Amino acid sequence: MTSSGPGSERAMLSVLLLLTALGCAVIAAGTESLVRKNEQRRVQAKRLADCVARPDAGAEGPIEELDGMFGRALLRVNTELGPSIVFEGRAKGGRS
Amino acid sequence: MTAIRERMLRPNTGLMQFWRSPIVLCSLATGAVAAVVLGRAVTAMHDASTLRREVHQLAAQVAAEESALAFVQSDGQAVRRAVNAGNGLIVETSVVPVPQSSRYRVRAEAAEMQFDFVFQRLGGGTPLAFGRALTLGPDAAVPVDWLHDGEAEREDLPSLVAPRQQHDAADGIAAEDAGIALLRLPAGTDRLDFVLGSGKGGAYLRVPDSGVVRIDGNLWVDSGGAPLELHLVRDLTIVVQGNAYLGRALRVRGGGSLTIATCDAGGVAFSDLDGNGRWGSGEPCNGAARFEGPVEGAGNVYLGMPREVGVVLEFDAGIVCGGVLHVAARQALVHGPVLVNKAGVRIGVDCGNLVCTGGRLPSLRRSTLPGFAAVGSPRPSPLVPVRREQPLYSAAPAR
Repeated sequence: MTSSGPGSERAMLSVLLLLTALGCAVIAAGTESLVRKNEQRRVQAKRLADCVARPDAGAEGPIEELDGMFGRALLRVNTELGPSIVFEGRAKGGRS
Repeated sequence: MTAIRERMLRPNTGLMQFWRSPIVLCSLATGAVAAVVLGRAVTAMHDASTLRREVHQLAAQVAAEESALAFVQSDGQAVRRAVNAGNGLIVETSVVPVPQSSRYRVRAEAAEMQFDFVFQRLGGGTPLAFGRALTLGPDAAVPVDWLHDGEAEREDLPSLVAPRQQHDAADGIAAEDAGIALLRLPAGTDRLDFVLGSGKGGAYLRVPDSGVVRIDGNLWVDSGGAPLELHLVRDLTIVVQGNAYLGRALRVRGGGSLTIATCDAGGVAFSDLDGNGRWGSGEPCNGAARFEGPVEGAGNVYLGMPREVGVVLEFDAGIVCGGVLHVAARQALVHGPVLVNKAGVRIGVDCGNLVCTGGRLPSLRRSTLPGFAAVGSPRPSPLVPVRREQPLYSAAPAR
């Protein structure tokens, strides 16, 4: 017990709890956003893995589902040796 | 004594008040919620880290693919490359030969992570004819009611790369059987006869490194109720210097593909109209002025046994028929590519159709088929990721 008495201690504790709750809310919101991004990246990673394994399964040109996965766009190009996936130009909203 | 008893019976009001305090309850609730929130955050961050690694590996694979292509197309000059994936992610690749192997290793470094892939330098790709269900030689005549899937492409058959004599290799695939021809054909055959799947490996065919086995004689799959099940770990081409008699269904397991190629070396292919397995006057010799050589000819393929018609047979194999393809089954379904130089004879009144399903066609551009000349320019085989093995014990400096 401090000299300021139990009333002020309770007030401090309440403020601390409120701050903790706010912190939790912020972390929860951030986590929710991260979970959503993870889910999107997981879907994109699976799609890219499919494209890399079977580059011939799809039309030539930019693979729009993979936009934002990297800083550069991913393109399916036809070469003499068959379709291939390459980095090209800039992606919309790209990140690494 | 009484005082102690009274104290024991009296409830601890201080403790009760403590638990009744809303602040304590709020603290506990907040703590529980915080633990859940933090746990979820840690899990999400761990997921993000795992995904980041996966994504970097995929970026590395895309860059490694570009790098392997550049390496092969530059005839081994383009050893190092840097591929910009954007937003500061640079994938640096280097290609080095794998010691004591015909393979190359691509090491791709992305965001301080290393990923290794291996590939093989191929002299070219698989001939395009193997990408079709049915290809006919320019002069092959096909009975109108023979085929289910319409027009077949016409093209010269891909050239066989003559395999060297490999007795040991043939032993792992097929065994000589002097009696089988007499069992199935009235007069037997002039050549040696071999039975597929009865070699040293049994049904687990021992595929040599070259992927090609030459059979100097006729190849037989004896008739029977159940399909002959063969196990192949990699692609195998059997070059038959004689005829192939496929008396029952063939089922191939294990990831490898089977191609049976007959050639007319040292004999004349003919249309066996009466189905007795030997040439008789009146049976047209295809591509030769007169018949000569072994009585059974050479290069012919029989789908079904001539005297056991009325069955439906399925073949998980590709067939390259250098002679005449005979259908002696009510229906012959071939899932691999069928390439026929000269076609086609139905043997027996109940014999029916050839159905080329194309269900097991090989990939063409980034692979080669053993025994056949590769076409086109050199190229890398598909990249295979190499899993890094962690050392059991970390290296420690000697004391």
